[in-house]
Amino acid sequence: MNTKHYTKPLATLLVSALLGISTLAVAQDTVFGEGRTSLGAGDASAIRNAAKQDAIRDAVIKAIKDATALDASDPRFAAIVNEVAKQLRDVKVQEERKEGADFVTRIEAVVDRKQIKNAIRGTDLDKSKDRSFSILMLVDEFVTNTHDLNMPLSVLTESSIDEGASFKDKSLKANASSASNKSAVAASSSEKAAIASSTNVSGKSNASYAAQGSDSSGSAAVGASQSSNYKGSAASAASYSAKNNFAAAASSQSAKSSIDKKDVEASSHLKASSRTLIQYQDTSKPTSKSIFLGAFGGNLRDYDMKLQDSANVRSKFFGDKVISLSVLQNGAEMSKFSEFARTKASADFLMIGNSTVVGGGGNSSATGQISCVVNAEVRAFATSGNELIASDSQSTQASGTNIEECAAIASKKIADLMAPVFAERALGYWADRSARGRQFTVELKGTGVPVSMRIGFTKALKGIEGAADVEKKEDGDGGVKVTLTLKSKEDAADAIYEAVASQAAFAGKNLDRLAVGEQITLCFNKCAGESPTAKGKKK
Amino acid sequence: MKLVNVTTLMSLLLTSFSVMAGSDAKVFPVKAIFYDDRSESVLDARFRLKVKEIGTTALAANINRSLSTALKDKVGPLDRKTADHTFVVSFHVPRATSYSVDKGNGNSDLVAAVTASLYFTNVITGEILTTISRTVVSRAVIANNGHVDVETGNLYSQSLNTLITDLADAAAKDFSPTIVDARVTDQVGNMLVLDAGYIKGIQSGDSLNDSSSQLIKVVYAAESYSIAERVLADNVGAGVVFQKYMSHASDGKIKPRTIVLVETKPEGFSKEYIANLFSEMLGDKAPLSIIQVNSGFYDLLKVVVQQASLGGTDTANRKVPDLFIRLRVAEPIVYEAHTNLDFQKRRHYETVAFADIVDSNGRVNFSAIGKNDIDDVIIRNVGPGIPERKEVSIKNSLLDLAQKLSQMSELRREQVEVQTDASGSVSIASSGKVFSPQQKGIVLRKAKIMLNKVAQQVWMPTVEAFVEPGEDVSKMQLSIGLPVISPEEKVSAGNVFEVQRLGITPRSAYAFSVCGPIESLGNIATPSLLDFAAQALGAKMPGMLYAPSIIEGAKNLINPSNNFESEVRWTIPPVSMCVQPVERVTASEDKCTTTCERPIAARYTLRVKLGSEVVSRSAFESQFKTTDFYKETPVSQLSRLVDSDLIDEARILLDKAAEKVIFQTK
Repeated sequence: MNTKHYTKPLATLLVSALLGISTLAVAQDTVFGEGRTSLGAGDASAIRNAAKQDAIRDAVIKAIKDATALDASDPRFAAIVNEVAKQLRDVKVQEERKEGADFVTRIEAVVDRKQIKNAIRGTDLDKSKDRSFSILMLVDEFVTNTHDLNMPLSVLTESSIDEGASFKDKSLKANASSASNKSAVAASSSEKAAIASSTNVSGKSNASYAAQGSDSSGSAAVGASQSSNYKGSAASAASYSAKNNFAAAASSQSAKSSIDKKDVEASSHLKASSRTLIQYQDTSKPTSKSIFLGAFGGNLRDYDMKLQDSANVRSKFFGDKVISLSVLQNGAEMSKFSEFARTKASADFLMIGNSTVVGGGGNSSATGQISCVVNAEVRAFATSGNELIASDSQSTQASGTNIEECAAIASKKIADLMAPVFAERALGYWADRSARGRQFTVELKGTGVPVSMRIGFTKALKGIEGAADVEKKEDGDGGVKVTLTLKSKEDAADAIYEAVASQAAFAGKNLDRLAVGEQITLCFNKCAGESPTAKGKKK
Repeated sequence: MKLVNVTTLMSLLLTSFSVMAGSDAKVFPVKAIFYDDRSESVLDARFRLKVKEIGTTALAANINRSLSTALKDKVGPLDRKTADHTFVVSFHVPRATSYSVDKGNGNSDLVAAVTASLYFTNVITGEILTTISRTVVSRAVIANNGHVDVETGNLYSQSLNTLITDLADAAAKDFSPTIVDARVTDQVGNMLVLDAGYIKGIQSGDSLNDSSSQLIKVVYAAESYSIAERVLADNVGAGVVFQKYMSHASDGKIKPRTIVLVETKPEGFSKEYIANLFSEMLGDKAPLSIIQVNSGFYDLLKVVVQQASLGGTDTANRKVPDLFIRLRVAEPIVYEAHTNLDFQKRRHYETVAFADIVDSNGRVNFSAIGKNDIDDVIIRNVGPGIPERKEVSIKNSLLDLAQKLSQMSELRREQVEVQTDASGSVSIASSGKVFSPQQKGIVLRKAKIMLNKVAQQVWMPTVEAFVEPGEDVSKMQLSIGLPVISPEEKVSAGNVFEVQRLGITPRSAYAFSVCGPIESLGNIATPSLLDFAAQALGAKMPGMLYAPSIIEGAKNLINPSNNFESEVRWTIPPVSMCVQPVERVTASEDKCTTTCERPIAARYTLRVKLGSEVVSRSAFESQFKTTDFYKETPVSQLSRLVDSDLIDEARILLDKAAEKVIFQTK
């Protein structure tokens, strides 16, 4: 035998590609707590117990702070803290030691935000804003197969040869070299067409060209095998579809005509034509079964997040047109959809993502089952301002008796793996916002706005309770633009409106307000022109 | 000439080993059977066929059921929260062979041997905590014209069933919780003396409880007693029993992370197969946790990710090993000698395997050798086949080697006497032992304690201490660290300084390596001479032996693309000296009566070289006669018979020479 098996470059590459190289997400929700009791407080068992309980409470307070940015150490929250403490499982005692006259215990515990949210439900601690904003979810799910990607769904080859009688041998020889040149050109253009076909919505490629009979099948093979190189990342390929498609079609056309012409000229006694149709599986269309989204959304619900399923609302906007991310991300549609989400679906955030299940080869020799890999990616951003609040991407594997079962298990599994991470980040965003405030851009719009009013406007903003970092960005006749961070439980637009309207400089003026996400605009009389409702109305 | 500081594993052992499983260790049986199904597989094709016939799914389900039943409440889910204390239990078949022996009466003996192993793996760190291996050999007698394939298949099927049951039982036994009792037998100052030591599994740092939740912490564990401080145990006196809970047999043991790197291997075997085989044997025997890099292990990780609630990246962050085993397996020596009976011959198989334990400084901590001899009687050319017996011989030599390594992989304790002077400074005389600067140890004093109702003189720990870097090896200063007992005690004459070590302590601090080319001055060359020389030097350790060649082998295996967090960060010092073996083996005329023997004079020299200059030589020679042989034995067989005798002699002589190697001109 040889040493080649030892290094395994191929297998290694494959495995590392599948498994990726990054750190483990384990222990992400681990908190540590330290508790102490006086050494005089009873017998050994009582002292150790008391210190451990104290440590658990300490851990819970930290976990609540992480989850809600609220300080639960106040004695009036003791009942809630105790309740959460009771829910804790997997408490590990890290250390027990004497420190002066105290007995000190350090523990490590795993706390899920879900537990905390449930425990503080309806209590004074339940003040987080994460439910005030809704997330519209749109996820494309693909099920594909590595095997299929290397193989056309159908190949049609037609050829006809019309040979001249007398000086065939000579001309054939002369032709062969020139023809092979040309067919190479044709092949490269047909290859483009093949790539485009995989990303094309119609899913068909029709590359036809004429070439020397003997060469035609060869060049078709080049087109097929080369295109398979690109297919490993079918989902990502989907993003640059439209452009390629046009380019390919054009070049394919031109190649065809030129070869036909030249061939005829070059060999008047040998006519050969060939037509090749290669049709690949269409990986640009998501499946109709949304297993990932179902599981993912369900899991997020457990974290008490306000979610909207796009399946229902999107028909209001798009009618019967099937929409998917691959369609949306093709240019202007995405921004339209985002706008739709904000206005029609009143979603402050849009969560988009995709989940791709790739079936492996045959049955595993170890389990007798089919295996599949799933890669999923989700991100949520503000529909106005595009601020990203959470994103995650992960990959895992599953096995099943057939690809459908495998895909279902894999989709469910990755949703289960991703939901806690995603929820943690999304809720963390709100915890951060309530601790540090949200940043708003506030604008006063008008024509010939007097200086007194502009000063009064800025002054009013500075005076709002919880306002910080008030910075003037623009100041002129057309109005004032200010950014500020606002830490308030009230509605920001209302608070700003009230503060400005109560300024003496604005006395007797009729003000209107318009809030689009973190953009708040105050206008005299009526805020009209900028209203997003004016756009994209289509039914 | 360069002196290089000794670097031992001590600091590593004290700091970087994670205690693997807590008291809540669980297992996760994988529903799969792992065996090499590739076309180049060394497993008997009939075995693979049988597995397919039974059905992988059915077998996998059977394995899972047997393990789950046997391990009962130890079975737990595997997800991101439990992965750090849940071991994956998987069923592997590394070997399945069959052969038939013609009995000469129209029948044949059919023998089928299957080896199966259970791995207990932490999939997060990629280390195999332990492996349990069993081999089942089943036999049948069939007519020479019978259906060998069918019969062999049946034997394989039986063997598999037996193995699944046996291994599940063994797993349950290995993974059952044990409680170690430690009784307080005496008090010294405020410290408690317990009647259980490291032999029973008590280690320094352990926290022990008694039935009323009192808590003590072990500060020092000797072989059969230990010393503990009170944490929450003010009223504890003699007679109180404290307990240590261990969730399974390997719990709490210090097990360095080790990887097997195969440097040379016999023809017809892949490096991967040899590494895998040897790793399994070590995992079964040695106090080492094994890291495997082979396609089989990737398959395991893949299947685990499929069956557990883990993501693809969760298993992709293996830590770099602490120790490397450089494995070299020599080509088996096989010969067939005639006997006094015309129809009978003696077939001899002999395999030698060498292993060096190397740390990330490239230093050989110790070397071991494994050997196996098989003699078969061949009657009228009927006997076990050569390829099968060769494989057995290789396997047995590896088994022997694994056993030797496992004995040597235990930590040893070494004590040197402490000297104090008027100024209060404390030093040790290294007396032939090399200490590394900052090497940590503990100062012990003599004390009389009651142990098992008998007053005994024992060593009591007093303070931690470190070896200060210094030139004078005969008087190395100690810096005194934190006290381990209360009330504190001063270091005084008569105390000893104790360190824990892995491997063989070098006799000097000279750094050297083994180098070729071998100089052969006689008319016979000794097989594997360089390996024998390296092994002798590694066993006697006249200085600090380095094996820089290990870097190459490690580079291919330990890198991020094999799911390690990084490559090995080697810190190999410059090694300027090398030891070159020289042989002069001369065979004389055969001396024959009824049988013959060949007189041989063998001389082996170990040349210490600094560049091209020879610094010193150490040589031993002997004269011996080969094993008796009959004249009819062909020349080609005879030369291998001589080889087989010669390597035994070479081992003895090289050991002696290595003992006497010095690195200075006299």
